[in-house]
Amino acid sequence: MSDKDRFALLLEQHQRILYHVSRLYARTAPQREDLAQEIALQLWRSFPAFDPARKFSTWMYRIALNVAISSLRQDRGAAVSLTDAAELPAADRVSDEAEELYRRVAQLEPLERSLVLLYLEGHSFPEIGEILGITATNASTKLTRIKQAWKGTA
Amino acid sequence: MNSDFDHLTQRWREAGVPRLQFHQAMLASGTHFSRLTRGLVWECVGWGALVLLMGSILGSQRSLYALLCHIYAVVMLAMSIRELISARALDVAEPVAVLQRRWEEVEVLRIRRLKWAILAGTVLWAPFAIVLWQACTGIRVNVRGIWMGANLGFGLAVAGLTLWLSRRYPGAHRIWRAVSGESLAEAERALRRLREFQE
Repeated sequence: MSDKDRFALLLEQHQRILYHVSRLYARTAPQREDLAQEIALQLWRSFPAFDPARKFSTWMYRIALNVAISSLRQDRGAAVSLTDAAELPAADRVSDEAEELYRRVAQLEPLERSLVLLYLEGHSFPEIGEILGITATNASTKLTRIKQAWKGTA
Repeated sequence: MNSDFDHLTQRWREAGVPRLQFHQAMLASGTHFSRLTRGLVWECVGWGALVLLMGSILGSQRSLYALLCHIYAVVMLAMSIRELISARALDVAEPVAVLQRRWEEVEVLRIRRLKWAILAGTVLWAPFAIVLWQACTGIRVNVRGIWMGANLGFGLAVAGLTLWLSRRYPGAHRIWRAVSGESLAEAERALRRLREFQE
């Protein structure tokens, strides 16, 4: 199998990462599409340096989140508005409850957004720490604080 | 609507995601990372050319104005090279908090350089014009009297033009924010938050 085919297959298997990252870091549907494209392009460019002995999803999350957060730097101060979910076409929407989570997560600081996303996707704290570059204890503490803050606003 | 975090987490994990489509056209546009380093390479080339130009003029004119312009170009080139080296060391597959902190450090360097390039440029434009005029025509210019007035007028014109452009174009707004120190303060705040996140 060629590198291109292998990459296409891995991208296909991990589309969920691209979808969630672009949903949480871009405001409008066209911006989300552009961000997903940019992440895919960066993944392809970095693919030759990918070590197959390592977990693909960890590598992919790092690149996807780095590209997404860096894209916010172009438009500092821009936050995802509460009405964004309503702008989505019906086919692009998940359940109402998941939409509520999207809205809440999108209001967090960019790195906190990454932390919550990784938790929601079922990653362990050591994995979250490895992707974000913090200790597992730090990741756990930060998440507890976020949960407490949400309870306070619920 | 149930807002219990653990319940919502469960719903999230159960939800499917729509299929994404990718376009070939995107391949030509590059990424933030490639655009950052490409832009810095061109800036280094530009400042390098100015260093060579001012160096050759300084060799023939031996004037204070030529020396000042040469020093300005050398300092700007050195700052651009420093940024380029830092930017090229960025690895997009690094842990997120690590890369974002390093990128923000490059951003702080870039904003500082932009600010000083503009501020020093508004003072040095008249000596630069004089040096260039003398190099091209060989005619010595004695503008001691009008020098200050011209500088002041130019400074005000640049401030007015930047203000006008900042309302029209987002790119120019970025320049205005850099000169006023707004961008630098924001980048330093972001850097502080990133450091705190890792603690």
